[in-house]
Amino acid sequence: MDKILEIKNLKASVTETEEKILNGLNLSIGKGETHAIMGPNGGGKSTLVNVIAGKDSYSVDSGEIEFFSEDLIEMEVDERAKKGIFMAFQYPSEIPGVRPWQFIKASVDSKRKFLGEKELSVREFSKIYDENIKIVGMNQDLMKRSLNEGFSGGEKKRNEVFQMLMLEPQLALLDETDSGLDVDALKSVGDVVNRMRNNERSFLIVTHYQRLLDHIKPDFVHVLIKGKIVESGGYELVKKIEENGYESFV
Amino acid sequence: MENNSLSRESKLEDKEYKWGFTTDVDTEVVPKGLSEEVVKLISKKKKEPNWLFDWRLKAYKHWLKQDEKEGEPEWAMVEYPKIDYQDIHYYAAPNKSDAPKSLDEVDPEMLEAFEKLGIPLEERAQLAGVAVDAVFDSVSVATTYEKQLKELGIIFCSFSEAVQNHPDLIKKYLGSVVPYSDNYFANLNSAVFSDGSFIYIPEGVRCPIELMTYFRINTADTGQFERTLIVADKNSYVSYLEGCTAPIRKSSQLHAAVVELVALDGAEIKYSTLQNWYPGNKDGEGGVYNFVTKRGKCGNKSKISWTQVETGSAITWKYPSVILQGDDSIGEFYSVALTNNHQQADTGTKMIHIGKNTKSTIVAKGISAGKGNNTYRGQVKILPSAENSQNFTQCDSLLIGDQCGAITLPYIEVKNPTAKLEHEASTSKVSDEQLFYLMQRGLDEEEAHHMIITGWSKEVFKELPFEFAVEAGQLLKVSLEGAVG
Amino acid sequence: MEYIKHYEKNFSDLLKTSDIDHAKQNSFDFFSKSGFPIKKKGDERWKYLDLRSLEKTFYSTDYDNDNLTINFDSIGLDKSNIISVNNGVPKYESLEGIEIIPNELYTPIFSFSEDEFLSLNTSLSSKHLLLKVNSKFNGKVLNIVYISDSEKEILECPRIFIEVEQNVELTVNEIFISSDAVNLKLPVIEIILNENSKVFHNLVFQSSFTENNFKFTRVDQKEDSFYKLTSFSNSSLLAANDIKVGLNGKNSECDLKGLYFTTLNSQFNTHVVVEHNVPYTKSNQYFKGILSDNSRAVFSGKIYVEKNAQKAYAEQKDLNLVMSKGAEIDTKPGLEIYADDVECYHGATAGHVDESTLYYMMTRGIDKKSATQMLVNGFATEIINEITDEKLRSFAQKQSDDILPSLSFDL
Repeated sequence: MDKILEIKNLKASVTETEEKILNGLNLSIGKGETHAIMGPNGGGKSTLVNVIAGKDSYSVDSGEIEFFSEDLIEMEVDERAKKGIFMAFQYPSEIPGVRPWQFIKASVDSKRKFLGEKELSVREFSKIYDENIKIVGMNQDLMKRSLNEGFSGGEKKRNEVFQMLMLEPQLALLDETDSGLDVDALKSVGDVVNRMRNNERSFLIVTHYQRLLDHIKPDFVHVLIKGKIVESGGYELVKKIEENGYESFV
Repeated sequence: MENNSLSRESKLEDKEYKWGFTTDVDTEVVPKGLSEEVVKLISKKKKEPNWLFDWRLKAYKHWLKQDEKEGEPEWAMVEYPKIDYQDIHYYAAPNKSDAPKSLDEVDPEMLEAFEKLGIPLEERAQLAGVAVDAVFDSVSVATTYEKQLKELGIIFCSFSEAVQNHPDLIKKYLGSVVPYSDNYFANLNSAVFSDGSFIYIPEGVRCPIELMTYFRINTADTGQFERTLIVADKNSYVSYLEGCTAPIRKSSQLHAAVVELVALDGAEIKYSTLQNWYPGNKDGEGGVYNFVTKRGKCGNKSKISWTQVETGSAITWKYPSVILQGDDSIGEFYSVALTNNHQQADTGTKMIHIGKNTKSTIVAKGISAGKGNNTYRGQVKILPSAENSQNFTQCDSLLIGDQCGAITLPYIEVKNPTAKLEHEASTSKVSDEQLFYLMQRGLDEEEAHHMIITGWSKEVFKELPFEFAVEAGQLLKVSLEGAVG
Repeated sequence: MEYIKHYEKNFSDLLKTSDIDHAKQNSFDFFSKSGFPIKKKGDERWKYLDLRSLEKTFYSTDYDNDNLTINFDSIGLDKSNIISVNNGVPKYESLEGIEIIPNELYTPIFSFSEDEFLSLNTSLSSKHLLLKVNSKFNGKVLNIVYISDSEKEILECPRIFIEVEQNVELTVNEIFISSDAVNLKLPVIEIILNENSKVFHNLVFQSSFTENNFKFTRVDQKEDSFYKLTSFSNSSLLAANDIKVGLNGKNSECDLKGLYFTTLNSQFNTHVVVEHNVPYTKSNQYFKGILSDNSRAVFSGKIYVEKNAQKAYAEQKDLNLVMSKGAEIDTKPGLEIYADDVECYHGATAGHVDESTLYYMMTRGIDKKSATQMLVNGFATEIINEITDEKLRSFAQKQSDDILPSLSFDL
C-alpha cells in the first residue's frame, strides 16, 4: 500500500514553555485509509495534528514526518495545505470582515494555482459552493456573515467540514470535530467523511469519544497516551476503550 | 513563519511608488517665497474681488504674527525638518489660461497623466456615473456632467469659477466653518489658496451621482493649497469623493488644504477620501507633508459623515471634524490610516456637541508597519447645552513588525450629565491563530495578512461607495507590500 | 512671579538649617524657572485643572510643629506599625523587619524634572524616611497616616521611600486625615519591589475643603513582583493622585484601581502611567469617578510599551458618572505602543446612571432618588471592595455611605 503519511519517532514540545508533549510517536497512514486517534486529555492528540499542519507554537525536537515521502518539518503551513493537508480545527478562528465565500474562493484558487490548474470562474465555483453547502446542511444566512463570527460551536464545526469538502484534501485531519455537536450534526459530519472516503484520500480523526467513530467506522484505531501510541488495532479497539476506559492502557 | 529580515529588506527595495511620474506641462509659476506681493499676485491672477483679496491679506497678516509668536504647531507626534516657507512656489497654473469647457479642450498630456493615475476620465466618468472636477496642480481643468447637474440647480465647479460666478455664496460661507485664523496651516491656506472645488446643492435636492475630484501635486516644490467648500442647503443630500496621488519628487512637498462643509437644516453630506500621496522612499526621503484642516458644521437634523483611507504622505496631520451645532444633528468619522517605512500619521477627529440630542460615531483603524508612528488623536466635547447627546468611539490599532509605534490619544470632555459616551480601543498585532487558520487553507503569509487586515478594515470600507471600497483594499495591499514576510 | 519669590525665601531659610544639597539646588532652580504648571504650553498633564489659586496663597514649610495626635478610633486602624506624618514630617519609631537606609545610599526612582510639584517636594522636603522591608515584616501591615494642624498656611513635602526585599509581601496603607488646615501637601512615596515581592497598597483621601493635596506614587518593579494599588478619594479642594509604575522585570504585574468622588467646587486629577519596559509584563488600570455639583475630575492615563517589550498585556478603563449639570469630566485614556506582540485595551465612559435599570427598579416600587443611590453605591462598591485591608475598606465604605445621600443628583 502506498504511504501518504509516515511519522517516525516524533518528539515535539510547546515552543514557548518547552513542555514536552510528544515522546517518540510512530504512525503510518496509507492511501485510502481512515485512522482514528483516541486518548485522554493532555495525551498529545491535538498537538499531533497541529504539528502535522505546521503550527509554529509547537516545535519538532526530533523525528521525521513525511508526506508522500517528502519531509514536512521545514515546510510552510500554506505549502502543506496546498499539497493536500487539511485540518478541521477544534476551535476555528473568527475573522471579522471576511466572508466565508471570499475566504474559501481564495483558498481554492490558491491551491489550484499551486497545482497548475485553471482558476475556477465565479460561476463554476459558486455552483460547487452551493452544492456543498446543501450537502453539509449549512445555514445559508450564516454564510453571509463574517467567517465564524456569531457561529455556534456546532456551526463552526459544520463550516470546517464544508471547507474540507470544498478543498478536497489528500489527507484530512479532524481535530475533535465531534465535540459540541448534537446528534444530527454528528451524523452529517460522519456522512460527509464517509462520502469523501475513497482509495486516494486518507483521514486522521482525533476524538475522545466513540460516537463519531460509530458513524465512520475507521480502518485503524490508535490509543495515544502521554505522547506515545500505546496500542493500535481495528475498530474493535473502540469497544474496548468504551468498556474499560483508558486506564487499562496505562 | 519567523520574520526573515533579509527577505524583508529586499522586498522593501522592490517596492516602488506605483503612481510616480511627472508630466511635462508648461506651468506658469510665481517665483518662490511668500509676501504680501505674492498674495496680491495670486488674487490678481484669479481676478478676485476686493473683499476676497482683503480676506487673504488678513489671513496672511495673522499667519505672519502666528509664525513669529509660536510657529508651527508642535503637539502632534510627527517629526520633520523645518519647513522653509520662503522656498516654496505659492502659485502654479497649467499653461492654458482659460479653463476648458469640455474634455476635448483638455491638454492631451494631462489626460494621459490621469490615465497613468488609473483615472481614465471619459470612461470612468461615464461608466461610473461620476462627475469629475479634476484639479491639476492649482487650476481646475476639466469638468463633466456639469450640464446635467445644472438642471437640478447643483453647482459643482472649481473654487475660482465659483468666486466669479457665485460670489454671494462664497462670501457668505467662506471661512464660516474654518475661520482664516483657525490654525497655522489653515491661515497659510487662507492667504494663498490656489483652487479647489465648490459645491452647492439647492434646498430639497438629492444629488443623483457621486461627485468626485482628483487632486495632484505636480510642479516641483509647489505647495498646494486647495480650498474646498461644500454647501448643502436645507434637506439636500450629496456624496463627495476625493482621491489624491502625487508624483515622486526629491524634496518634500507641503500640502495644506482646507475643506469646509456646511450642512443646513435637514441636509446630509458624505465626504470620502482616498489619500495616497507619495509617501517618500524607503529611507524616508521625499514625500508629501499633508497638513489639512477639514471641518463641517451641522444645522438642525443634519448629518455630516467623513470617511477616509489614508495610506500615503510622509506626514499626515489631519482631523476631519464636525461641529454639531443644530439639535438632533449627527456626525460620523470612519478612518483607516496606514503607515509603512518612515511614514508618520497623526490623525483623528473632533466632535463638538453643542445642540440637543446630537450623536456622533467614531471608528478609527490604524495600521503601523515599517518604522513609522501612527497616532490617533480625537476629541469629543460635550458642551453644557448638548442635552442627551451621545458618542461612541472605537479605535483599534494593528502593529506589523517591531520597529513601529501605535499611539492612541483620545480627549473626552463632558460638561452635561445627560450625555452618554463610550470609548473603546485596542492595540495588538495580527493574531497568530487567525494567520495559522488562513495559511492552513493554503494562503501564503502575505495573502493571509492582507485578507485579515482588509476584513478588519471593513467597518470603514463599507462606508465608501462600492468602487472606492475595492480601490481602498488595493491601496492597502500595495502600501503593505513587503511589510510582512 | 511673587509666589516664586516666596518659595525662594522658604528655600534659603531651609538651607540655613541643613546642608546644601546639589540635587536640592538643581531641583529648586527647575521649579523657580517654571513655577506651578498653570496652563503651560505643550504640557498636557495639568491642562484641565485650574491651578491658579496656588499662585495666590503662599504656603510655608513648618517643621517645628510636628507633635500632633491622631484619633485612631475614627479610622479604626491598628495602633501598631504606624508611621504618622505630621505637617509633612514623618515620625518613625523602629519596627521589627524594617531597616533605615542611610541618606547617602538613596537615589530617587524618578527625576524631579518630571513635574514641578515633584521638584518643589525635592527642594523643600526636610527629612526623608528611607525604609527597607525584610522578611521579618513579611505579611504585615504598615500604616502611614498623614495629619495636619496649623494656624499658618503650610507646605508639606514628605518623602517616603520603601524598598521591599525579595520574596517579601506586605500591605501599605496610606491615609490622609481630614483637617481644617489650609495647606499645600506634596507627598511623595517611592516603592521598589524586588524579585518576587508583593505589595498591597491602599490609599485613602479623606475629604477636606481647605486642603490642596498633590499625591505622588512612584513604583519600580523587578522580576516576578506584584503591586496592587487601590485608592479611594473623597473630595478635596484641589487634589491629585499621580501614579507611575515601571514594570522593569519579567513577569512583573501591577493592578491599579481607584474611585474618586468629587463634590462642590472640588477638582481631582488622576494621572496614571504604566511603563512596560521589558517583555512579559502585565498591567491593569481601572478607575471610576462620581461627579456632582460644580466639581471637575480629570483622568489622564497612559499605557506605554517600550520597544522590544513583547508579550505585554495591558488594560485601562475609566468609567464616570456625571450626576449634575455643573460637573465636568475630562478623560484622556492614552496608549503609546512601540512593540508589536502585545495586547492592549482601553476604554472610557461618561454618563448618568443607566435609564433602563433605573426604570426597572422603579417598576419594583423604589423611588427614583433611592434607586439612583443604589446604583451609584453599586458602582462605587466595586472599587471599594478592592481595598485589601479590611479596616481601611470599611472606613472607605463608611465614607462612601456618608457622601451618597448628600450628593445632589440632577434626575
